Amino acid sequence: MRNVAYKWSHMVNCVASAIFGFVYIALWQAVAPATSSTDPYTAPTMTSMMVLAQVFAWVTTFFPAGLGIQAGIRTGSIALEMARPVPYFPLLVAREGGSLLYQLLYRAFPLALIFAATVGFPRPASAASLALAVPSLLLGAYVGMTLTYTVGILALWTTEIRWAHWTYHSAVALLSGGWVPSDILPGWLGLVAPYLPFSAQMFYPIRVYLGMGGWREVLIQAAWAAIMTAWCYWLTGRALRRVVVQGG
Amino acid sequence: MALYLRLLGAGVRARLQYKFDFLFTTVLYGVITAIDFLTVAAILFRYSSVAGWNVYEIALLSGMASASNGLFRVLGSEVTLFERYLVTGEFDNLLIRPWPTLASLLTRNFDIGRVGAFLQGLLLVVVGLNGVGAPVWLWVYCLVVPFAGCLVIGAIYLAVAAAGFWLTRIDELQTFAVNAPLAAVNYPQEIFPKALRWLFLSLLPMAAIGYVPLSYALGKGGSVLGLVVPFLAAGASVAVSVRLWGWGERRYQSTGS
Repeated sequence: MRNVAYKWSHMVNCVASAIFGFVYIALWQAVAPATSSTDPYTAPTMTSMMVLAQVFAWVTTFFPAGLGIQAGIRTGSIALEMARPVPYFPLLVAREGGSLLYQLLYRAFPLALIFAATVGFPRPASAASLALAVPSLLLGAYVGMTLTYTVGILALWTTEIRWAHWTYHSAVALLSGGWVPSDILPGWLGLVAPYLPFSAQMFYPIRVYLGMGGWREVLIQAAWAAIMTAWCYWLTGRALRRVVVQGG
Repeated sequence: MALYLRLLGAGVRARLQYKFDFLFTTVLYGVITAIDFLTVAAILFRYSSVAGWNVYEIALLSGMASASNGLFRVLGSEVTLFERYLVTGEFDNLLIRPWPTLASLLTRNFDIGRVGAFLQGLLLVVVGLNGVGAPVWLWVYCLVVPFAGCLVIGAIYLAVAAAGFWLTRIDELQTFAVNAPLAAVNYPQEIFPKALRWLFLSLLPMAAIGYVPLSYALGKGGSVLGLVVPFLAAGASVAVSVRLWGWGERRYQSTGS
């Protein structure tokens, strides 16, 4: 409930997010072909992708900077959290998972309504696409959490993570496939980007929902979820040796 | 102004005590701004132009906005963090000082590391000017306009901060008033619906920084008067924002305990 205490601020955020969407929709409508038998990214498809990107980003991408880990380091509360009988990484994932429902209901859903009332909210390609889009979106959210966790845990080495947070956000904007499809990036970037974890956050859930992808995309996401889980556990183990409580 | 410049000098010297941190942050902010442009460039790589504006012309649009924003983030970084002052009651400390609160706020911290974003913006402007084969007067003009642009963007940040005296929570409003227009002014405004164009040319006049003068300078329409628009927008928006700040300050009620 603390998240909706400032209703006015909350509504402004929805409008701002919608404006970002309108900017990208206008851009793609200006450059993409209206119809094409060879180019899968036509103007109507890109409009759908931009709407979904803005809405899905609230579930898979827009987490608090570093999941708030750096604040715990500054206040010293991280020592208490790490001393709990639950491992630190799943503890944070569970906590963030709880706020996903809030993001879905109070951020993504109102935004979807704004788009539905203006440019239209895209329908899933089929019932099967919709069914597969749910695990795809959840996997995207999980990979997003692990990447944000990685940014946050860096604070144990650097204290300040603002730089890592902004680098991560810029990488997501370019490589997640949300605002520019990963496979049309120029040169080698277009070959590599679809297989980076960022694409698991946005590109694949959108493609699955629109029927442009299926099980293959979900399997790539699942592989990244497994790799990132192992990475986060390893990183947490290393981080435990570096905890220096600064509060007092 | 003399006091401001002295404090600015002190801020720069303090930051340069940590040379590696300064260099690292400067390069990093430059790289982050460059990555943001890469997103635009990736689209242009595939489609070659947006509404008749080629990659160099878009680089000019983007560079002028980035340089303006980067410059303000160096000089007025505390204004962008004003929500914290309202939520914690820290603004009370500024009220008891013997000079205007705005002067105290602006001189509290200079985020010199952001100079990387400013320089990267200027680099884009240089690449754009070189690419379009700009005449000498346009080189001079485009390297001066970011200073007016800094005032336009600063005025919008300040208006948002002033709105905080009524609303308290303003970070989301900042996303609406600054970040969304900054994303939009990377592109020619004719691609946007009328309502958005109106918004970015009047209430949040960031399109005045690059799009309006460049439309004329690059022969895409508009009149010669477009060249003075960034300076008029800077004057008008600063006047309105400072007034709004004064009104807001008079009704401030501390939230601290």
